[in-house]
Amino acid sequence: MSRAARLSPGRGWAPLIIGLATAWMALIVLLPLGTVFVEAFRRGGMAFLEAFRQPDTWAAVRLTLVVAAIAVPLNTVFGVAAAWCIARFEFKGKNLLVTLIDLPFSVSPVISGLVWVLLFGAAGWFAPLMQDLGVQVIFTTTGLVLATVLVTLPFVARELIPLMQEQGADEEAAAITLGAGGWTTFFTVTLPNIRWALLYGVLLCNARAMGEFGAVSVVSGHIRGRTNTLPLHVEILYNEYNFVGAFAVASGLAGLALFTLLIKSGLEWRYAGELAATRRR
Amino acid sequence: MPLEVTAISKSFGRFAALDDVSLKAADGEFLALLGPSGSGKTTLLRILAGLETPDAGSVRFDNEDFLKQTPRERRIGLVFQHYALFRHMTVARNIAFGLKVRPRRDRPTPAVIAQRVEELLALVQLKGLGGRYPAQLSGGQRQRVALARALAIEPRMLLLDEPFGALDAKVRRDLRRWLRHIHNETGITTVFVTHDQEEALDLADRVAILKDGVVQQLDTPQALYERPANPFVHDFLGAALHRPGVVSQGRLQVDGWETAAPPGAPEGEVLFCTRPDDLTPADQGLEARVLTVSPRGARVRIECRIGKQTVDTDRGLDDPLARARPGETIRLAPQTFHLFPR
Repeated sequence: MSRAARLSPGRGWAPLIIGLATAWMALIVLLPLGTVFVEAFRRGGMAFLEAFRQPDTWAAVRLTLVVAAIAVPLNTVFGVAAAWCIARFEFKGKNLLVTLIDLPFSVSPVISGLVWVLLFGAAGWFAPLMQDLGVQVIFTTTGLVLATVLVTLPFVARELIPLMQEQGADEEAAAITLGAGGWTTFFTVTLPNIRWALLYGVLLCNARAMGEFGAVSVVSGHIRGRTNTLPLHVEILYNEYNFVGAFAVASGLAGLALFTLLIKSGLEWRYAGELAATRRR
Repeated sequence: MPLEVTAISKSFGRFAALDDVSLKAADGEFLALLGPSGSGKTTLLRILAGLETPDAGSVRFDNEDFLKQTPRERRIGLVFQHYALFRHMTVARNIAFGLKVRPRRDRPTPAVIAQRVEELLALVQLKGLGGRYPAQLSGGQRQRVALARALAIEPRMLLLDEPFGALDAKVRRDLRRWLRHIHNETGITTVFVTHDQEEALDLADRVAILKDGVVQQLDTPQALYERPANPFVHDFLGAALHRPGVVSQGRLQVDGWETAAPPGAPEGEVLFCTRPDDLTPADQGLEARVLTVSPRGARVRIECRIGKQTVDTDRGLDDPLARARPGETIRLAPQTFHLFPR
């Protein structure tokens, strides 16, 4: 891949447009994000920490991490498998599969939550079966995981499909003719070639899994200390006029997202040389 | 015969990539599969490598049924047009790959592997570059690494899929000579896919010419040139002049020129095939209108129109044709020609 030629932003409209873009970024992204932290500390550090002394908050943190810890690996495995099938094979229904993978992006998260209620809720399709088995899905962690998995399904697959299509299957074919088995080929050739895109997809998937509100709101039931994730907890605190608490928890959530971003940037910086060497052709 | 391909057929959907293909290669032979794109040559190579499965037919190597074996059991070396080097591994690790993935009981010790990598780097003239990544090498160097990687597993057969297709003309010529040298040194049975007739004729002991999934002719370069099996083979092997003609009662007529038909010529309507380089000015011959005469240093390129076909030919300055003038009409007699029934 050749690097695109760049112009130096010296003359004409270029500085103005760059300035506008920067100002827009500040207004739409930085300002609201900054507000979260400002509001969280409005009454000082002690009031901020008060929100984190509540056992309900810690239950929400724990639940959020548990849901992400289940949903993200599931979607990672699915994403890699789906991208591999789509990039390597021609089969009937391939276009349908690609469209289906995109579907969670295009439907409202509320619907992604509602479908589980329609399937497993008290009046749902599988309600009798669930009753016989003595399993409850809605208003439990299971429901939260299902809703989160559905909403975050496309992230990993979407990152990998174009990359794997562009890389082609020749390296894998070479590994196989050199005597490598299927798993050896996957772990020594396929995976290293997609690791950066995979990491990026996993981080995005994780950020969304921890931050998802709409879908989990429908299936959660908002049972404090039991089915309340962080985003839901923020809403509850806010509705109770506990603004400092709401913003404090929100800042914790934003902190998790920033931490994720930091890891990604750190890894990119750490492996910059290797990235350049393997991406150039 | 170590390699015996018998009646192989392979279709992709409704497209028949290979149709009843049979061929054999002797031990240590250098065989080229030559044909235009879509002729099935790469599909055949991938079947030999175990990357595709044929719909029908058999492949035997050293009296083993290749189609029942995994690629690992076949132990063949495959070289790709676009190198297919592992981009995240150094050159040395690329070459060592085939040895490192062996089951533990067959795997050489790290010291032996390292020594083998050094030997192969020397063989492909890349000593000291073992620590580089593929992206830091030129195209020609990458293809030499790919060959070293394929040779590392001591393959029973070497398969090359348009190995020089992505390289520029000069590198291509150098590598061609060098590949022939490596083949002479190692003596590995080699099957080579190309669409470049010059490359095939230059390198191979024998050439199989494919078209639409069917082997048109399998012969030595000399025999292909002297006795083409059909007009396609004649046309594919270099610049050609093809004119319709008629043979009757031992006489051949082409574009108003009449001559004795060679013994054994087909009777009736024929396709007359010759090469522009085989034409010389004569009192009797094909009528040719000289279009352009362009001097190029020690050579002259003459472009003529014969019948409805335009051909060109390069001649030395002392060639009789070099004295032709643009616009004049001359007669050209072919030194050799072939007749095929139409």
